[in-house]
Amino acid sequence: MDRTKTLVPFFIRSVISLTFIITGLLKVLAPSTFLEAIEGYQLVPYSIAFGMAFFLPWLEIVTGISLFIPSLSKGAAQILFLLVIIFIVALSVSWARGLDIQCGCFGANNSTTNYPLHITGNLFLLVGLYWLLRQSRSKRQA
Amino acid sequence: MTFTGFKVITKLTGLSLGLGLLTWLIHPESPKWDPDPFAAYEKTLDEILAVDRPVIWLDARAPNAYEEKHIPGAFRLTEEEWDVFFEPLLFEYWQPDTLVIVYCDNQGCQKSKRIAHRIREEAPQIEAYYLKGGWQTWIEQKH
Repeated sequence: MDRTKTLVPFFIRSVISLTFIITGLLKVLAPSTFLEAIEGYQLVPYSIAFGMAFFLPWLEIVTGISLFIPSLSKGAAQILFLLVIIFIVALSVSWARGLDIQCGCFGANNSTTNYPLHITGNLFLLVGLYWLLRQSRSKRQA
Repeated sequence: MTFTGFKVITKLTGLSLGLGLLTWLIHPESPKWDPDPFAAYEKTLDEILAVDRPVIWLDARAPNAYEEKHIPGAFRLTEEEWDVFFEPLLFEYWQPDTLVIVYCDNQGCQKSKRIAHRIREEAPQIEAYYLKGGWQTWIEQKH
């Protein structure tokens, strides 16, 4: 039982962490493609999209790694929670507008976005992050 | 949120900003600041219709959107299907005085711009442009 209590949070933390580290790295490798993907959403002006193309991938990597550093993990989870909400809103708005975009989720992948699949994936991440945040809160209270 | 939590968030965000800036400076494929890199390939619908030359329309939207409706005579050419469709199109339909116009959903979509650019890179003899406003403009002006 105790083993399960330790292993489940570790597994969830690892999946979320690796997801963000890998997707962040893929975007860092192809900043031009990621910039085009952000522009495709038509939500922010070019100047902001340009900055996001360099900032967001590193935010994903840095927070993904920080999830494993006890003193930083809560802050990292809070940032990622907000980030995933932004992703879900951006995807939903584009879906509602009928845009045929590239998600930009995996760097230099030019395939058209499968909205239900990507939103579902992000919802799973959101639930996982919420659970991690709840865990850190109950630990602090204990 | 506690002050410590806020400090952690600031640190992580600051570190990411710094690394992003560094990437911009040293990444070999870092995009240059250019709000509209494909502006030279843009043509309005009025400009295209006024040209007294044969035009090949290429539809870069999703295949299902093409199947539903497209500009009369347009061929489908998406980035995913480039290898299948591009060469046959080039050899069967293109002639030296032909204009190639690519369109996608609307002004915000990037696919038509990228495809027009790729055509010019892979076949410099072809005058390829993208339709300003894309399919949305076609629908608004022709219907």
